[in-house]
Amino acid sequence: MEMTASFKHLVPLAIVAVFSYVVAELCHSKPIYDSLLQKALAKDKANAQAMEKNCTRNVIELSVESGSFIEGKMIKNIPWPEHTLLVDVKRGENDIVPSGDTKIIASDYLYVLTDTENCQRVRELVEK
Amino acid sequence: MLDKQKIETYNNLNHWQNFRLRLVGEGILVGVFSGCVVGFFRFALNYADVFRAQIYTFLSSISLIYVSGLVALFLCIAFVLSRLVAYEPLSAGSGIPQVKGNILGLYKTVWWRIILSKLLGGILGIGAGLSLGREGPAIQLGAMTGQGFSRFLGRTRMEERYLISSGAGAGLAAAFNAPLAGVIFTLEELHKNFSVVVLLPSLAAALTATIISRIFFGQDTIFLFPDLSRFPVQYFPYLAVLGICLGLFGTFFNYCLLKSTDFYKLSIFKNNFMRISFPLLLAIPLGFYLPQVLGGGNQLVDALVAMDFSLQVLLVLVGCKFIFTMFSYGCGVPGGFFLPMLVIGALTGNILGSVLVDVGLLAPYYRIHVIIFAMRVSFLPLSEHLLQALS
Repeated sequence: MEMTASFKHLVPLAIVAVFSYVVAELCHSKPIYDSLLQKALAKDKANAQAMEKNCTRNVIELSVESGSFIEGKMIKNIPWPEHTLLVDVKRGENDIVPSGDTKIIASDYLYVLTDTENCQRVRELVEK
Repeated sequence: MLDKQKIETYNNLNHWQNFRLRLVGEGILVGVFSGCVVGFFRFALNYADVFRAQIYTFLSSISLIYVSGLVALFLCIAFVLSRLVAYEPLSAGSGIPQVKGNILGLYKTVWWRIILSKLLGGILGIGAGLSLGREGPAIQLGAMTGQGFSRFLGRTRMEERYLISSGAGAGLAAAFNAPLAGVIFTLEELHKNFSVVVLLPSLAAALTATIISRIFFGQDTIFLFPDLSRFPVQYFPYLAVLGICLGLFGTFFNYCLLKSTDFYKLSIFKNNFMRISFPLLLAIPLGFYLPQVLGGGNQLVDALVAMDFSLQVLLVLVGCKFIFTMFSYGCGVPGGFFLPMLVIGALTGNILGSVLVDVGLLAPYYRIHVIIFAMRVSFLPLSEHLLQALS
């Protein structure tokens, strides 16, 4: 709408959008930028291995969606990859200093200190 | 170094309120810088569009021999492009996957090298007429400006990711004069969640970048559509047909785009220079006979609305634009495929609209509506950006 400067067409536009989305899902179409990123990563695997040698540390933000593998689990019962440290849990406006007995619930934001190598594994753990 | 990073990160997490407010201020500054970089990029592309049209008009008025000069020029461009991509491999292609990888912490990037290579490569490639879009480059340019800003101030890696994403949204906002699109892109594609820490600086950056772009280019929206009346309810069933067509077409486009690089693995292409030369040389005959399919192609959408093309012309245009976009993207020069996809979507919508008008199911006035809907939704099956399509 912004690009065409008119908000009159929201309803018809949304109808077209939903139909095209469902059809694409039925055809098992994957989001293109994810596919391209994976392709690029697979291509320079050699590059990635070189990167792992001088891997840097990062604090990454992860959101826990309902139905996540770690939802409802205590932090000590979650199989974290090596070299990961959960430093902070934000629940709404509150900060929780995580301990082993803290239970993760959906809509929490986790702040995890990890290195480049394990970044993807943590993400998969939280998002699966 | 590492300990300093850790301590600062802890500090940021402890003073969350202050941290969020600081990010808004930094977002504004990132917006200013991204707006300027992307504004320059846009300016150069607009100029290149005009210049290209003049060259082809001039060449068709004189002897055909002089076309060899253009061939030589394009081979030089192909050479420069192949060197640029070799210099900074992360500047190849759209740029959005790279920014995503960056935010996920998968890539280490040197921001100024990417800006340099993307800016020059994007202007040369798209300027020469390859069917590529400016949005991917604009997003990556904005993101790398954000990273440069963060490095300049010595911010932590955690903060840097927020600044990179703000810059990315600002880049998109400046490229299309559309702040909401920029913010939604950051949330929907880059972060896939709706955290306030992402939203606040992104909004600040996107708004600033839009203001900068409006100072340079005026208030006009990127597509010039007339003010239309509402789409009548009795025509709503056609929307389902349009949605299904676009979904199938988008899936096909998605498949072809991922396979487009395979074409360049054929053994006749010995190196990157030859790969890049192929679509550039293909652009020359197209420039003489079908200049509408060259470049991003937003003027073509405006033309579709203003004129009623015949069905044959539309089919030729959509076919050529599709194939040429695949060749252009597959060779791996800097440039995205969002704008070409919008144009292909608009053409598809026009074809469907014209068919409906011809068989008497649709009043001719509403052909333009169908074009707009098709264009706006065309990218959705590819990217799954539901909100983006509606913004």
